[in-house]
Amino acid sequence: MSFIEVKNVFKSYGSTEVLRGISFNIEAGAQCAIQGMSGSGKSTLLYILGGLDQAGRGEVVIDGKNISSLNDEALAKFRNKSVGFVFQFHFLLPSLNCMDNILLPAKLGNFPIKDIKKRVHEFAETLGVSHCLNKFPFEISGGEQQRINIIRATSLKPGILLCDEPTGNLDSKNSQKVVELLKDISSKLGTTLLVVTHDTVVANKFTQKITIEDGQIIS
Amino acid sequence: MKLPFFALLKIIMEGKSSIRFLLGAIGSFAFSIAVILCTVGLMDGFESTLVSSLQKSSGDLILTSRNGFFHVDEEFNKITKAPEVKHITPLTQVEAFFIFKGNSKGVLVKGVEEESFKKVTNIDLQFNNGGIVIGKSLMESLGLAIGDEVVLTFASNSRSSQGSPILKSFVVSSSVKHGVYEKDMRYVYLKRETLLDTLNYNPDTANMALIKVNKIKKIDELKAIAFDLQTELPDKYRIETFWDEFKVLLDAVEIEKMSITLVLQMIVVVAIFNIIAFIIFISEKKSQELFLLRALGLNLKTLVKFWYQLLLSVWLISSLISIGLTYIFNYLLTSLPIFQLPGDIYVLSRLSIDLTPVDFVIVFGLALVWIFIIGFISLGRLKNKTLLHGLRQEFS
Repeated sequence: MSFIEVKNVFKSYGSTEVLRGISFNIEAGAQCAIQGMSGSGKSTLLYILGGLDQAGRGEVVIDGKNISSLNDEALAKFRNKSVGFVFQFHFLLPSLNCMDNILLPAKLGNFPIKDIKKRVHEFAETLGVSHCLNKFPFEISGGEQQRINIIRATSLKPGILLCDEPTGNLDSKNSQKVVELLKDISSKLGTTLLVVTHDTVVANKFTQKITIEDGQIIS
Repeated sequence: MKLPFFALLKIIMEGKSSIRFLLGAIGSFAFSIAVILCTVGLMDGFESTLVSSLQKSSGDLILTSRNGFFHVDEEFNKITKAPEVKHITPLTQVEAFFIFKGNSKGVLVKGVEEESFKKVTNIDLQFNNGGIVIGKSLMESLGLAIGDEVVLTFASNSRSSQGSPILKSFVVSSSVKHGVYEKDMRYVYLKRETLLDTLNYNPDTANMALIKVNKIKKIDELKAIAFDLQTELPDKYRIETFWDEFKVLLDAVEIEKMSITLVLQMIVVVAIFNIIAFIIFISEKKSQELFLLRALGLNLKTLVKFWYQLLLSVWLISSLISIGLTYIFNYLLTSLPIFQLPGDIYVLSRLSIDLTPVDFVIVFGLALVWIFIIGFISLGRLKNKTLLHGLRQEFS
């Protein structure tokens, strides 16, 4: 049994069919790029995998759990414990400093803050953003914000790391760094990495690729 | 999946504009509740002040006869032996014209027996040398002083005088204050025997008696005592409670109080608009934060709980502030001369706010209902937007 099983997933918004019978399997610890043009349905697929949205038809089974049948409370728990999100926009809350932003998932899930803090300091040291932890998001650069975002996404060692255009706001040099960073972290944590991108250069960094066009997998 | 209320509040209330908006919403809501409390309290105060003032000069129960006049005889004296009756005083009451230096006023002349009258009403009337005692307001309105001579004009019941009135001079011995403007302006007291003699009535004639009952815990008990006495007495007597004379007014105040409470809900509705604006402001301005928290694992149940806790806090703080505002208003009302009411319009010259627990429950309860209706509707807006839709909309 694969770690992620997507079986004949359909999704519509009104009369617009965004996903049309998507099916694939991904093994645990794999690193995969989901590539496609804007509007192809790749982000929708990613959000369905992350429990942010529900499939209209079909099944999404992650680690043996059918997330299509979960209620709101169970889905929230799933998002908190099993999924790490890295969005194109860093989504850091301006009222909290970087450490508090990173600790949000831990607080939401009632995890032991002391242990998580220790891990955060190690990650921050590795990513070179230790000096940012007590600063507010507006006090640090865009690249640093993205790295803080990555630390938040991986702070609870999730089973899946889902990244939606993580390099969308970065130049090519920083894009390359971020992709390497994501691959490196997921390897170390044994996390399954899924990166959605429209950028072929970024997609080519991954050995496993899924290409979507008009809501269907073409390769 | 829990995030403490205050941690979530810190995220939602970040920024001066949010805090100012919240303070404004709480302030206006508190003020609206205070307006309703003050209005209801004033009407309760009016009612209780009126009732206690009426009791001062009327005793507890009023006895009248269906035949008009009755005799203070053996049969009447039996009433004093009833177990509920502590004191009783007979009165002879007639209408007359009060004339002083060319000015005249219609008055109610009460012929009383000082000692028993004092026992029933606690009013000590001093009739020096057969003089009269008049209401304080009447004295002031006619510019009278103690010792002035006035004329009382009574209707004559004698056929021989062919309807011409009986005029008699009296000296003003003192004045009396009942606490009810209408009484202070209309009541004139003199000894009963003097009045009966002036009118040429039999010495045992009366048309009213005031009764003081044995100690009661609540004023409402008087209704039952009046009923019991009524059944014990001969049919010709009628027993009423002291407030029955003003029953129509008191009933009107009660109805008015309920109507005004309902009408004043409009003020709460207006204040609710501020709360709505605040809720819309928060749900629009902070939807980024809310959707992000949802994405990171905040479940809808916790969000709903936080939402209602926030609204409950707004209601609670507003209610507490409104109690403070009400007490401040009451203090000003009872101490500043500017708030003294014209007695000729309002019957009573000074009012205070008198609120019962029921008033608080009704006013705060209705405010809570309103705030929860609004909270429920606004929460629907957040619930109806899917997480993905919200994230895309907010972060695009």
